Amino acid sequence: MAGTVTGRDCNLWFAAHSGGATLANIYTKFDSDHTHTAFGIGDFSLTLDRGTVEQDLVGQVGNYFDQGSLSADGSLTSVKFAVSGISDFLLNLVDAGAVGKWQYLAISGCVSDATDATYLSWFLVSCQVTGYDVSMGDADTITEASIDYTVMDPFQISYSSPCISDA
Amino acid sequence: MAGTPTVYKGDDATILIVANGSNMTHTTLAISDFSITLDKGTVEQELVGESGNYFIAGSLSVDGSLTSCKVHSAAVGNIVADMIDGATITVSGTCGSNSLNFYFVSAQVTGFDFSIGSADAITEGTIDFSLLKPYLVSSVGLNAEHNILLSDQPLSNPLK
Repeated sequence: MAGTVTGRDCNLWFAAHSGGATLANIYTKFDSDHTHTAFGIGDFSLTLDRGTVEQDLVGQVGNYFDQGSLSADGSLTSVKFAVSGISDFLLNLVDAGAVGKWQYLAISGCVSDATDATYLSWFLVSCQVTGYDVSMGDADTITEASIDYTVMDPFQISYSSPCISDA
Repeated sequence: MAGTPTVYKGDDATILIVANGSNMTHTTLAISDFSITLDKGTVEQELVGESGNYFIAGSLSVDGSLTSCKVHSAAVGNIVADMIDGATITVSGTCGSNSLNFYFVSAQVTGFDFSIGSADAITEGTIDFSLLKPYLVSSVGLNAEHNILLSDQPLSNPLK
């Protein structure tokens, strides 16, 4: 069915960067060492959440609601992590708040068939790793890391077709 | 109120969503499931000396969700745009001919979640929405075919 894509039609980039980095500097980090292939991504999700504010109304059959704040977070699993792959997720988690170090994580990606570039894409430069869980099983189980992240500047998020961005 | 009770399936439904200035049908969005929930709260008053408490109708709220596999700027992208911009979308549709119709203009997208898996998994987005003005929702009426329309707009004879 035209317009439908599967997981193979996806590209992802991840790169830890220092605060104040220019977009050009971040772009240069999205090389072949920072793709979904380099990290061995098993699954990826991004969630945008728009809160609602409720106002009680006297004399009405229901209350009034208004738009609340926007937040964004997500998760992924990686089977190539730390020194066997690229350690950007760990760098960002450990160095969070350390000015001049890897205090931010940029996550970018897109889904697209090979002929149409107007599918959804995203470029989020203010991500913070909030959870890093490594699980190990038996010899039949691949060791993988489950990683949660949150966008630290959701108020900067805008949509310019077809890209969701906080830059 | 007499009519002929009819069983409807998913292929009898029609859904139209207006977002970011674009009219999108269920075909445009490739919707795999759709739900809309009307919730009327109840208020409980405890009663001393009685074998049960007293209940009365509370407030009305309306929300729902849908799943779309057209993760494209011309489909899901329009809904994401209005979510980020804090704009409402219009959600309307019917379960089938001579069935329940709905037309809600104050729907706010409250959640957008998309997940990407392997080559065996179709990438799809899940969208949650809530009505910002549920207190305006009413049953706009029946016509000769016993259609009923739920709307948060004060439409006059919308089914005629």
